[in-house]
Amino acid sequence: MIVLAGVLMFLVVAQVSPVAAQVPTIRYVQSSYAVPQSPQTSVTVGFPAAQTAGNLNVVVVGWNDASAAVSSVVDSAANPYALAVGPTVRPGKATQAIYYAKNIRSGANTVTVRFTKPAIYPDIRILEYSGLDPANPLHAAAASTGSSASSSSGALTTTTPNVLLVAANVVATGTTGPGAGYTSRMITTPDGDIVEDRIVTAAGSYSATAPLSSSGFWVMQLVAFKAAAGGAPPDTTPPTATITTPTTAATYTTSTSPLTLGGTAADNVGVTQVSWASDRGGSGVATGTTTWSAGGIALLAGTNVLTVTARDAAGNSGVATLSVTYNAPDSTPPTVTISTPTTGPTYATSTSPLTLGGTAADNVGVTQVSWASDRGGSGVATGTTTWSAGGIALQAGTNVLTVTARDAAGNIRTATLSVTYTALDSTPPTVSITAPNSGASVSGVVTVTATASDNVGVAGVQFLLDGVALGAEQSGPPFSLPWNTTTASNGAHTVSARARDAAGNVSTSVAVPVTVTNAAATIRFVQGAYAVPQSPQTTVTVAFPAAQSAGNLNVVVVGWNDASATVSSVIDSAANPYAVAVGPTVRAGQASQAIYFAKNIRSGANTVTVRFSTAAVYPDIRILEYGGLDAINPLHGAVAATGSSVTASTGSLTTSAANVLLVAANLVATGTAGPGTGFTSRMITVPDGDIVEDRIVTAAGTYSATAPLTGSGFWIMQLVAFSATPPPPDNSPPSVAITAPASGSTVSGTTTISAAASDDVGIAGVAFFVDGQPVGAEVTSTPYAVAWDTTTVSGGGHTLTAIARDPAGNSTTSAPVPVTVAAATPALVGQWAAPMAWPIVAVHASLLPTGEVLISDGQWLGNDARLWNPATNTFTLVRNNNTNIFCSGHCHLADGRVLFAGGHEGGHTGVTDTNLFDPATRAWSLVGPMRTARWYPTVTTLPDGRVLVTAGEMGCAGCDAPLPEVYNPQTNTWTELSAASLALPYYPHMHVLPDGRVLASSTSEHPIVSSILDVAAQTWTPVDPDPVDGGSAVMYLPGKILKAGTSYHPDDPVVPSAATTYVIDTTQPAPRWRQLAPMAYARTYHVLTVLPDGTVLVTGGGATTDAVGVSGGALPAEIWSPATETWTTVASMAAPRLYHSTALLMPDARVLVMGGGRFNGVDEPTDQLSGQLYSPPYLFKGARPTITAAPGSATYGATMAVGTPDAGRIASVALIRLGSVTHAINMDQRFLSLGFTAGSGSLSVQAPANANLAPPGHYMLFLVDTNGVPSVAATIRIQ
Amino acid sequence: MRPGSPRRIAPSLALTVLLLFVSAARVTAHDPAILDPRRATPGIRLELVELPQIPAVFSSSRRYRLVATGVPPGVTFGVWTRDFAHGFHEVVSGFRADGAGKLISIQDSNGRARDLNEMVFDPGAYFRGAIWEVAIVSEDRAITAFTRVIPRPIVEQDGWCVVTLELVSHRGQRFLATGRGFVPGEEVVVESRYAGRVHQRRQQIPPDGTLPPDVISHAGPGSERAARYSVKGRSCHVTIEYEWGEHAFRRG
Repeated sequence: MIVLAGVLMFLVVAQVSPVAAQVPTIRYVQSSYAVPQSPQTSVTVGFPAAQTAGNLNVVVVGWNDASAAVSSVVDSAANPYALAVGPTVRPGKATQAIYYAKNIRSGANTVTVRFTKPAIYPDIRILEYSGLDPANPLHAAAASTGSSASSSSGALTTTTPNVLLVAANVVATGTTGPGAGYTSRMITTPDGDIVEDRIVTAAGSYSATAPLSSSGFWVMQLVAFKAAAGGAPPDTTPPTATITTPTTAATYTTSTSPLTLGGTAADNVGVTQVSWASDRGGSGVATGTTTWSAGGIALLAGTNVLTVTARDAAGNSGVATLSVTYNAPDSTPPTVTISTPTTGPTYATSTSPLTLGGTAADNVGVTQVSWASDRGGSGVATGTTTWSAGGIALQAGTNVLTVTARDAAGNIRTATLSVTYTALDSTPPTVSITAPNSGASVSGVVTVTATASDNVGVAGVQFLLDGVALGAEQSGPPFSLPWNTTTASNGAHTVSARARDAAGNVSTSVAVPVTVTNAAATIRFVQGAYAVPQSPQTTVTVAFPAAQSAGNLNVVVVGWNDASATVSSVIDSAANPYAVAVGPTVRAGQASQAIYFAKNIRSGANTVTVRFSTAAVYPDIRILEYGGLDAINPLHGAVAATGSSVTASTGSLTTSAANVLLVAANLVATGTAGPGTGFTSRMITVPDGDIVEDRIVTAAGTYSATAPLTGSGFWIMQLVAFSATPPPPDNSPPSVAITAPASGSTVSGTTTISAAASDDVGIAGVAFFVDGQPVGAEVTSTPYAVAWDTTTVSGGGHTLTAIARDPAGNSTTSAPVPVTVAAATPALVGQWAAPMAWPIVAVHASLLPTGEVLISDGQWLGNDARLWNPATNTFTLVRNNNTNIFCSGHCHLADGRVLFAGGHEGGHTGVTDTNLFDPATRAWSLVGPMRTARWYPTVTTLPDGRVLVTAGEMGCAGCDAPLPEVYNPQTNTWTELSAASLALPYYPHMHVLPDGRVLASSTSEHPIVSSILDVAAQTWTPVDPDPVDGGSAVMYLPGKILKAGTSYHPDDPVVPSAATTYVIDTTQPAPRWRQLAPMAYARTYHVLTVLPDGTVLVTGGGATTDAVGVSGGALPAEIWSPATETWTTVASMAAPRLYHSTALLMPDARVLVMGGGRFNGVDEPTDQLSGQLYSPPYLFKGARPTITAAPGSATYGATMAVGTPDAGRIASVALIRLGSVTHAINMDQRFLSLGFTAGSGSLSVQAPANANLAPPGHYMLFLVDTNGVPSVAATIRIQ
Repeated sequence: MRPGSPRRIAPSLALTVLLLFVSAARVTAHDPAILDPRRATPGIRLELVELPQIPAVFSSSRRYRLVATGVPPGVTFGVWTRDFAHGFHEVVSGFRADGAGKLISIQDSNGRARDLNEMVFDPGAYFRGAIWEVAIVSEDRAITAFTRVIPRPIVEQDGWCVVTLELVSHRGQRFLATGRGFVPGEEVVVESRYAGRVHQRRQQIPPDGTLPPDVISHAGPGSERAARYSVKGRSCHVTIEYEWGEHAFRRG
């Protein structure tokens, strides 16, 4: 219901008759008469109804002689009667007198007139009037007689307004009607005497006439009675009116219009009407009287004085008024400003909840300020012109807060503040080590990995070895680190990880115990030599005994026995640079020693030369070569000491790494007896007695060196630690190569891209790319492969690559593999021919046995049917002049005619018509009608040749015809299955099962619980209680149904389509729908078409249920394989085909796709006035087998001889019924694979065993070869 | 009519008659005279502004004011409404844009021009979750603008999580579920229960925190028409109780 302010008010006005001006309330009440046709001395006449007190009775007495006289006029109510006029005598002819009784009593009443003697043809007429003066009503009278064709009373003069004139005659002939200005109250039968009256409102002269049927004598009298005004007891008491709604007060202020008034009224006699009026215009009559209501009173801005008037029958009135001040609706929205926390448009905070504040203003007044967040939450602020809203919970990120100010008129204005909230986060991350495993033995370089998460986000993960940072913090996943275990000592360690979030919350994982088991360091002493000239030297040269090895470390120990000389240079013939490792350490005035080293030396013979600033005394030059030391930064530490004792010692140094070479050397005054504990002597110079000793330590620790001396004396002793060679960093990228598809190959559909990848450490992941764009997610474990839907790219050449990465972050891109996507290869995706312009939209289509296609249009063009000749692409008009067959259901009869049930009377309104189209005569015939009108029904040819019709809307949306009917072509009659009631949505998808029953698998409108109809038993049996959807369905093998996509009513709101796919095998016990891999494209209004190779083609439809949503139309077709139960995307058609699209398998094994459109009428942009032929891939896979001979018909179970020169390569024989399609469902198509034996030049093919498998009618018989290539079909009638 | 005014047919009366006439011959999608929101005239904005409830005057249903902006001058418009599952029908006509762009009636019962903004539109008792559509349409139907509202939304909220069901089937058997306020990236459990059946699935919440549109279909025998739809995430659990089928069309 729509209530329009203002409209109701006017309706009231329009419905109310204007209240008349002040007129007399004189009213005629009732009358009667008696005309005995024999002389009477007494005549009695009763009033038909009870009389009302205070009224006036008039008695007209006439008779046809002048000898009798009236002796009395009385009534049963004892009212006294007086003579008003007469008797008036027409001598010898007739006499008439008029009597009256005033202010009569109430109740039933009978008047008796008595005559002095029997009066001839007495004519007694009685009348009751109201509104007359109860005290003295008689005002005037007149009478006359004559003989003519019109009677008249003569004139009387009234002197007061509001007078009742009552005229009566007695005539010889008959009165034909009242005179001018008078109202006839009776004309007696058979006497023909009239009583007529008239109410006059002005004083004046009046007379009465009455026309007669013919000329004759007459007596006519006229009496004037005064109205009650001035009489007693006049009702002069006015009603009272009281307004109680909307207020009992005298004034009322509102901003709402229209207004409803209500109240009460009272009167001493009775309230007859309550009305209202506004001084600003408008008036009306209230509903009710003593309690009344008047709604829809439109108010105008400002003061509206509403006056309510109550009236009684006497015309008295009482009023009540209400002065209503109407504040007209306010269209000016408020203003609103946010000032807290900022006046700017944005604000960043880490505090939640937030308080907003600000001001608002309005020309009338702000009634409310509210807030809402786009991240959820809303509320009402405190205050209006100055407002505040606290407790606004923020969510991390941007929160757009909208503040809305409202006024009483509903006008609103908003202000927004974009608040960026960085949450104060007190929740620490969680972190755990995922590799190595607890208790693992590790060596070399291993990858340490951890997983970490946080309610907000992990800011970093720091790995810890024995609680000490290991490597740099990782700022993002994957949290992994290559760990060179050789930097740790062999033995037990713990690995842990410490994660932190941006708020500074930290957590440390459980420490994972590991055991480092690196092999001993490969540090080794290679060779050594020394020179100890016994005279002062400025230059000392010492050669290595053997050629040196590249990368090794040279150690040069230089000692001399004074402190005045200094080493000016240490060089060698290989040009290795030397650096000081320690020293010079000076024993003041006695000796000095320094140790030099050269790292990462060159190979070959080498001689070291040490030069002094001045000739050094007893120089003692010792050179040593070591292998296995860090070529880059070998110096790990050094220490030195001097003393004078029998043992030289170095002091302690601390190493921080495993596998360290300790080289100690001394310079002594006496001689060195041997190496210190744990050390190996490499040389003790002769004769000087200075030692060089070394030790390899595999654990970090504090070490020192000593050397026992041959006697007490001064000494200098130094110790240098050199680090072992670290394992080389993982700079080796992985290797990766695409292994499939092969380079240069052609791919189609969904293909797998595979790669082989390897790395010296390991593969962290392999990502795949097509033309540089990623395909799927990175694959982190073998097999390295992804599925690639080639239909997502254009046909033609494309390049595949794979990128492998190792844990150290090294990555390698594979060699590109060129492939060709076979979108343009018809053998893979089929091929669409160019669209053919058609004259109509093929909403309905049936393949005829003649090879032609019968199509018809939609909407009010539904009579337009045409025959399309595939060979010539021409049309023959075969208009159906009987019925608009748009929205009918149609299927083939056994004899090849096509039956159309129902049609289009209007939206949701069907017809009962049954039309047959005969392909032979190309003529329509209207045959026996259905019992029920149907719009969107489904028809199904039954095994016995009859036709089942189900569903269809009868006359309104959702008014489904519940009872199926069966058409018998032999008797041309429909029989209702009265016991098989089931309200199915429109266009159910019906399939004759191998047992002869009929399955309703789904519908084109809505999901259903699939049910099976037993036509004979008239029972429905549910199959699967789960109503899974299917916008189109096909029985792709006997008893096996495929359905896919969305069913929908196009008038309903648009929702997304589904790509879901289901199959059911009804030949199994307790069959259930089984969900399969979906279509690649979600579809509604699509069509499934079974193909000769047993696959199913889907065409058309769109991504939403929008019947005209062409932008979402699915152009690519897809083919479903019953072998793999998967869809493969194939070539795309030229134009979107949505609602009303159709498709038919043709005898040449192509698919004719048509229709789409005619939804909102005609000439819509969505109307597809075209057809387009699709050649499936099988037509491009080699030569087609041919059929050279085939029977025109076959009986069930018979063996058919089918001639073919290709008998040896036939793999299957398919029998597919000629299709009839509309509204996403082909009502005829069914597929059978027929058994056969190959002969020479022919096949022996087994016809279907029974009519359940193949209901009688015409089928296409295809031979399909071993490549899946079908022949052109032979059309065979199965009977 | 005021005493002394020339007697003539008041436009409001004429509109009312037209309303009844057109209502009897509704326009459906299968008829040619379709009003299609997808073909609205660009530049015209139509909005339904909900008014405060005034139970004493009218029903307890939602009441709206219709606000149109961008209406071209000199063109006469009518207001059409479309109840759910029915066609559009005209309810009032004879509005033209004045100089300020307001739609003003040519004349009302009092002989004065009325501002469309002053009129109150009330869909009356309405179905839960169903859309009510309003349009302004030029006399030649060449210019149209549309707006829509769900007078009785089916919506539930738990914390920041909000789930809404929209009735999308004229048979009452399909609903479109949408939601917002969920934690982006989380996996929620979506459960639909009716007629003793339970359908449960897991759904990944996209970065915008919305629940992707979910079409719920109901069918089956029996008279039980109660249904429940719930979405359970880490931080919230929203459950909506509703009725489907013919029970979805109980007016309230």
